[in-house]
Amino acid sequence: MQSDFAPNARGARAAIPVPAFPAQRIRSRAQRATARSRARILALAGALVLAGAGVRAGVAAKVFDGVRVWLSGGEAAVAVDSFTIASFPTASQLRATVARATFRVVLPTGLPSGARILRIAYAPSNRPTVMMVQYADEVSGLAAGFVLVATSTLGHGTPSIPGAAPEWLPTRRWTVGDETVLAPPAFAARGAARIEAAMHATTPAQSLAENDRRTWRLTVLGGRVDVASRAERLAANDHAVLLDRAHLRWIPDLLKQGRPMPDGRDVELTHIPSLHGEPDYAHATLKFTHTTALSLPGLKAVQAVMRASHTTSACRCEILVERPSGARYRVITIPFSPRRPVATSDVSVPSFVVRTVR
Amino acid sequence: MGRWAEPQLVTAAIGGDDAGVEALLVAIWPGCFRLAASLLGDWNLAQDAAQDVCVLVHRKVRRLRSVGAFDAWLYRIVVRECSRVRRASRRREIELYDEHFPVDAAVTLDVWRALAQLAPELREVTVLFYFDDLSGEQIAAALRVRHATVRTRLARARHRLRELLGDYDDHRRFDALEASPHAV
Repeated sequence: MQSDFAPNARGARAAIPVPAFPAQRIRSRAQRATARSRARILALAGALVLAGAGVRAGVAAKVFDGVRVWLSGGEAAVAVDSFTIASFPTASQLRATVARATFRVVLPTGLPSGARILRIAYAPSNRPTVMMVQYADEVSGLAAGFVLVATSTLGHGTPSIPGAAPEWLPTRRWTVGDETVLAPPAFAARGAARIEAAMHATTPAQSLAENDRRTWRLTVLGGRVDVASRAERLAANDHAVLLDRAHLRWIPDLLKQGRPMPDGRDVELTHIPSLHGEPDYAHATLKFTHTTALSLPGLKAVQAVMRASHTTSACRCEILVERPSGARYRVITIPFSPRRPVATSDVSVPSFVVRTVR
Repeated sequence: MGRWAEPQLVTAAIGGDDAGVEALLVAIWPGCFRLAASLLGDWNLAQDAAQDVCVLVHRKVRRLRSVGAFDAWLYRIVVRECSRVRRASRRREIELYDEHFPVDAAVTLDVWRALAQLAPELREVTVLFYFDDLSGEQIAAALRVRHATVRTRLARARHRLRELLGDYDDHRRFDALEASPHAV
């Protein structure tokens, strides 16, 4: 039998009968998937926390809960099975996480004064043995993550867990009390030395107090750190919600469904599958807290302001929402550029009449 | 002309409305389905994967920056969705390449029987190389593996196909591959 495989293969494939194009099914699935993808995007933030610390996680078989770290020479390897992530955490979230940890947590100190905590992640959820803190600073351009591990849980040498084949990457590390700190290798040596010295000179309580100032007092659902920092200065009190463009895009769908805006800042990722040896965060099992960030009237108020000011979700802006009284919402549109003025409107409830304040 | 659809259709979908996207989906559906069927060996799983691909294209095609990126992007999506569908169906008993995979009268090799005997990762490179005529670099990009890995897998697949199909003649294309390390 003399023949060429490729033409035979192509001929065989051309003979496969193709089912009719399921237009309606794909249309409705695409609409449902759009809502689900928002959740997946939040989950991907998990990967960013680890990446910020300069480590790339592998996946281990389901023989442990959480995150495991191995050290060998100047390198570290991380395997993940599950963890919880909190974006734009509040002081109470940070304190609760530190209180539950199995080790005396000394948080990174000596960072630039403007550095804010973008995310914290920890595992296991009930009694963390590993905590990851990601900082961002709009002024110095800092974007770095630190992995804090209970030293007693560290593995040394080759991972002994079946199925775990994480990648070894160089890391900078030091020990403070019963905690080992992994810092990104890209972090400037002088900066890392300053942080290490500051962490040695502080106590767990002092480090927590310093990091309290780096948390968020508003409900920041996402978006840019610099805009969130400006929103905090503009907000009259802590009961305000900042909506980024992704959340603004979501509003029409939520209003159609008669649902409030959920608070998606805290996500627990479990059963993280592997894709080509790396964690596939997009297909992990996600568990959100069932809390509301902005009620239906609040969403209607934002929509009313956006309509009145011809603002779309593609605007280069984010929107801060406050409720000074039961009969009134204050909606502040904050442009990305600090040189452009903010626009403040009051919306009366339940008429949703918009009045420009300034 | 693109591998999957006319560039005008892709342009209309990237810059247009839902109608433009749906016209593109109708055009790519047969190709997506047949590629998924070839990779998965199961007609029903191929429908699932092809539908998933269309849902992703529906949602994300407008974010593409250029028409030229569409072919490679779609290959990546099809391969990835097939991997996911295969993983999700691991526990199901599947008869690979059953009666839904007829052999054309002009075809002299039992291609499907040979594919069924290959491990999934060898099947992927075989399908993309022989059925779709992709280069090694294109396959590496679609599978998100290194170019060298594609070469190794292709060599293993070829060895196995020789065992399965006897003296099929494919020296010309493979000789060129071996003569030039970057030709794949």
